Formats: sequence, C-alpha cells, structure tokens
Amino acid sequence: MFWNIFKTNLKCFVRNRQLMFWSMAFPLILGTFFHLAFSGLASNEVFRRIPVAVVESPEFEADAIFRQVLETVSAEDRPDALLKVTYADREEAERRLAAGEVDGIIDYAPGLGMTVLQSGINQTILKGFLDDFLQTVKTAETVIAKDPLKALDVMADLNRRETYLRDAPVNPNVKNPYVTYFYTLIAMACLYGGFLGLRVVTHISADMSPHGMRVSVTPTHKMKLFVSCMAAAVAVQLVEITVLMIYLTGILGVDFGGQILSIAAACAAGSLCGAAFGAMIGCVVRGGEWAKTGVLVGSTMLLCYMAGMMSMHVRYEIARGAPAAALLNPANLLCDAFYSLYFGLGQARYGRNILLLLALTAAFSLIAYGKLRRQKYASL
Amino acid sequence: MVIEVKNLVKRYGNLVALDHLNLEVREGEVFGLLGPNGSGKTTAINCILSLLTFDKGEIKVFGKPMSPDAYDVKRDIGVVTQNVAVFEELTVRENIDYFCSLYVPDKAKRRACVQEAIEFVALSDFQKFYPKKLSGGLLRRLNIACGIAHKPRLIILDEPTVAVDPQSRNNILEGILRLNEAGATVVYTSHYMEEVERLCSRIMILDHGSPIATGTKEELKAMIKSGETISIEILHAPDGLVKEVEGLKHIVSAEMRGDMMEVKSTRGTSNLSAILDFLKGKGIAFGKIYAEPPTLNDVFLEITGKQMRD
Ligand SMILES: Nc1ncnc2c1ncn2[C@@H]1O[C@H](COP(=O)(O)OP(=O)(O)OP(=O)(O)O)[C@@H](O)[C@H]1O
Ligand SMILES: [Mg+2]
Repeated sequence: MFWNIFKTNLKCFVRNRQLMFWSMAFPLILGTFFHLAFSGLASNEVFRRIPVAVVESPEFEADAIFRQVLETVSAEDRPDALLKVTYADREEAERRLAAGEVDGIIDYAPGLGMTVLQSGINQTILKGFLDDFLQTVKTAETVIAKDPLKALDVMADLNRRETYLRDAPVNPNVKNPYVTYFYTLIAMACLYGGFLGLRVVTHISADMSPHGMRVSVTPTHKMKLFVSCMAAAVAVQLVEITVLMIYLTGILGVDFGGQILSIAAACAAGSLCGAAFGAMIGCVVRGGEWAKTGVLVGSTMLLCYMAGMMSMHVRYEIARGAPAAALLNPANLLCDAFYSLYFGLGQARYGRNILLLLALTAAFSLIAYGKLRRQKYASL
Repeated sequence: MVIEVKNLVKRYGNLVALDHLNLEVREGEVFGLLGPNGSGKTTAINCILSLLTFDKGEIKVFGKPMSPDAYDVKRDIGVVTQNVAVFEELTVRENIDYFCSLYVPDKAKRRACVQEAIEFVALSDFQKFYPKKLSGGLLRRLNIACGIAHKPRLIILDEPTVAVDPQSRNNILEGILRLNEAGATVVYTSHYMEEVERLCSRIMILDHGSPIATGTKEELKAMIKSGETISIEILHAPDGLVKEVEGLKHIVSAEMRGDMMEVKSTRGTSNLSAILDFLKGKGIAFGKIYAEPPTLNDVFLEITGKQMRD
C-alpha cells in the first residue's frame, strides 16, 4: 500500500504545474538572475586584504589591546589576514581615503570609530570588525568591574575572537564571494519543498480538500498516509535540488569548491526540513489553502532573508544579536553547513548544523502529525 | 441494524445543526434523508462518518461504535461526498484506482474492482481523461465510482445528482438501485423529493436539524390530510369562481395560475367528479384536466407550512 500511495502522490506532484513552478522553476530562474547580476562583478573582485588607515594618536598608543588585535589581524605572514594597515596622521589618512588607496579610516575621535566614503562589502566587514572589538571590550570591562580575577579569562577570549574572521566570507582561498548568495538560493529551494509538504497535508486532511475528506473516510492509518505522502514529497524535492545543482554548477558555472557528497547530504537534510516545515504550516495555520500558501511563502522568504539572502550583514547581525534565532532558522543552518564546507570551518560545525536541521525536521513533523492524528473536526 | 444514531446534537457555535437526531438504517434498505438546503443532511452524514465532532449522542455502524480509527467498520463503507472529491492531477482510472487502493491493497483484486466500477458508471471511454475535461454529469459519475469501487456493504451518497443533466441523473439513480439489489444498504440524501420517492424504501424528512417525519412514502403521505392536486384548464373564469370552488366540500384550497385552476382536495375518491359537476352546472367550459396524487412536497408543506424548494 505504501508504494501505491507513494507513487500516486508522486504523480500528483509532478503533474501539478503551479507546484512545479514554485518548487522547481522559480529557484532556477532566481539562480539565473543571481548569475547575471554577479558574474561581471565576481571576476574583477580579487580577494585581498582590506586596506585601512589607522590614525596615530595618543589614545591609540594607549590602547594596548586594540593595537595587539590590529597586529594579529594584519600580520604579513598570515594567509588569512583581514586587514592591510597603514599608520598615518589624520591628514595623510584622509588623503589616502579620498584617493581610494584605503577603504576606511580608523580613528579615536574621541572614541574608537571609523570613516568610510562609500558602502560595500569591505566597508561592511570593517564595521563588523570594529563592532565586534568594542563589544568584546565592553564585556571585558563589566567582568573586570565585577570580578578582577576573571579579567584574565576575558583577555584570553579576546585573543580567540580573531576566529570570527573566519566567519566572514573573506578567505584567500575563496574565488567568488557571491557564492554565498547561491548558497542562500539553494537553502530557499530546499525550503520551497514546503509547497510539497503543504500539499501532502491538503491531500490527507478532511478539512482542507474534498479529496482529503474522502481519504479520511478510508480505513488507512493517518501515520501511514503521512509517511508515504511525505516520502513522495521529499523524493520530488531531491530530484528538483539535483536539477538545480546541475544547472548552477554545470550551466552557470558556479564553483562550490568540491565536497559534493557533503553538499548533497546537506541538501537532503534541507529538503526533509523544508517538506516538514510546509506540512507544519499546513496543519498549524488556519484558513484556506491560499492563506497557508501565503504564510509559507512569507515565512520562507523571511527565513532566507535572515540567512543573508539579500545581505550577508543581516546574517551577522542576527548571529551576534540573537544566536537562538540563528540556530532555529533552517535556512541559516543550511547556509552555515555550506559555508563550513566552502570556507573550511571544520567537520564539527558542519555536523552540528546538519544535526540541528534534522532535529528541526523531527519537531516540525511531530507538530504536523499531532494535528493530523486528531482526525475529527469541529467544522468542515 | 446498519446505522444507529441516538440523540445526536451538533452545534456550530450558536447554530444547532442537529437537534437530538435519532435515526436507524436497516440492512438492505435504501434510506432517504430528505430536507431543504441547510437542514443538516451533510452534517448528519459527516457525524456518522466520524469526520465531525458532536456535542452529544451516540453513533453505531454495523453494531460497533463509530470512531476515526474504527478501520474494520470503515472498510465496509463507501462514501460519495456532496462535493466532487477527486484529484485534479489524476485521470479517471487513476483516481478510482487510488481510492480503491486505500481499501483493497491486493493489486489483482483491485484491478477487477476498478474495471467493474468504470463499467458501472459507464466511463469506459473516458478512462484517460483528467477531471477538468469531464462534463458535470461525467464528473459526478466519477465521484460515485471512487466511492463504490471497493464494493462496500454500506453506501452513503450525499446529494450525488446536484447539477446533473436528466440523462446522467437517470443513469445514476438506476445504478444505485442496482447496487442495492446486489446487496448494499444505501443512505441517500437529497432535496429532490422525486428522486427520494423513486429510490427510497424508507424516508426521513429533516428540517432545521430535526426529523419531522419518518416512514415509507405511503406512510408519510397517509400522515397528512391533503389528497390529490387537481388542475383544470378554464379559459374564461368568471370572478369569484375560485372562492366558490373553495367553498365546496372536501376542497382545501383553490387558485388560478394563468388559465389553470389548481385545486387541492382532502383524501377521498370522488373529488374530481364533484368539481367537474359543479363547473358543468354553472355552464363553465373547461379544457385539459390532470389529477396528481400527493407528493412528499405536500407532506413537507403541510407539516412545516413552507415549500421544500422555492
Ligand atoms: N462549517 C460550518 N460552520 C458553521 N455552520 C455550518 C457549517 N456547515 C454547515 N453549517 C450550517 O449547518 C446547517 C446544516 O448544514 P448542512 O450542510 O448539514 O445542510 P444540508 O442539509 O447538507 O444542506 P445542503 O442541501 O445545502 O447540502 C446549515 O444551517 C449550515 O449553514
Ligand atoms: Mg449537504
């Protein structure tokens, strides 16, 4: 019986044009747009250290911590150094900024701050770097005030904070900074499996469609129906993601840097999570199929936005300000899994993301099934 | 007893859709649930099928309490829903096969069932059609085939002939009678009294969620005092004729509709000749004459004071 339900639902999905458009054609089209928008940019944007001028002043001389940090992140012998620092007086720094020799000026006027002339990726990273430093110092000061002995620990932590550099999409190995946008695109495509999950719920709930009502009066266990239909949804989704990956790498020539099996595993986990997310939306949101679809599209877009689809800065801000939100966002987890592969952040981080994705999938599915199992409705 | 419903109360918010409904369906009968729009027919069916929660009451099917996971009971029920319930993305045959597969896992057995159902509703020429390409009548037939392919012992049909042309309707009604002859118990809801009268061995008339009368059609008609309705064509009716006819013995009401005078009489044998004698005596010429026995609409009209359909 499983196979028959699986096969029939597969047919229903594949033959539904609207469904196929959103879950398959739309990500392909969006990918093409990204490609057109970025292909010109990526080739001439060479990855290099961000040139910055630091104004020498008594305050700067006094700030031993900042000086040490600056030295670390601009060390000539480090391949992943972030900055290329020039020390100068105010006038000289401004001349260099105006001439385009540096992307920003770091100065004490009187507090530690930054001057830039335009906005761009480099400027964004510079700002992130300074914010991060100030945040850490503030933490350190509070701790010192409370418990001077702890201060040593915090100082140690500050040094370790260099690691945040690796979170940023700047790495000398990285050939194309825009690859991150394609990662969010893949994450979006995975979450668009939610359309299929929502459809599954429509197919088996008496209150969502006439045929759902008919399915509900048959002597088939809801769990069996749910699992078989979801399996069909995920199968379709996996094929769609495969097509998308082939299109992105084979036709558009986006280079994801190898590790194809790990990428595929992440896509599979993402597809499962997307389908379960859609099923949950279908069960939890009240209203007709249109209302549910609306909520699904809206929330998927929001999750992708928060994962950095429009601007990576949003992603950093959320990771910094609301780490829990970042951990509960499947789009973000998926992107982070991709980044850990691409930027070589380590197996542990990749594994943690995949595990969290699977945990979210389980949670979404349980919520959905909990509602489906009830089976009797107050009103149809 | 195939279905037993006791004291069923169902509310939608403040609206009482079923008010202490009691109902019994016996093995082998065609049970008709007749009532105007909004009288609670679909609600009653959905409660019986355990799709709806209800506020009070007890429902047994095949002698067992009905619940969403009473799978052995559900296996023997076939449902034809009021709204056409098929997958747009599946062809006629695929639809029937899918729903049948949820009852009959065995493939060979299922193939025979599906084939039989297709022939039963005469859709053999349309097997590969998608529902969108079917006319309203054909779609209804598909809806029926999906409900009955697994050969259920109890078939519940909720207004299966809504918006169907007369020929398809005839087809459907005959089919239902054939299923009944083959041994299935049938529950049929409708607001077309002619259908119910033709099909059902026992009828319950529902209004505002309560049964107002139950019995065979003869029993129902015996409950009321109206007899036949007599229609007489009178081309030049003089003023006051209607009043005079109404004054005759055994006449309940009279009215002119165009050239036809419609007279309702109480039950009796010589009402028609009494009226004709009266007209002759007054020298009034008349043309065509019909007399119709009372219908279920007369029953409904007399008990509730309103027409079943307006
Ligand atoms: N989901 C619902 N929410 C609120 N009220 C409802 C709901 N479904 C039905 N009703 C009301 O309950 C009453 C009974 O409706 P029901 O659909 O059972 O009637 P019906 O006899 O099947 O009518 P029809 O011939 O139009 O199919 C009606 O007054 C209807 O407005
Ligand atoms: Mg109804």
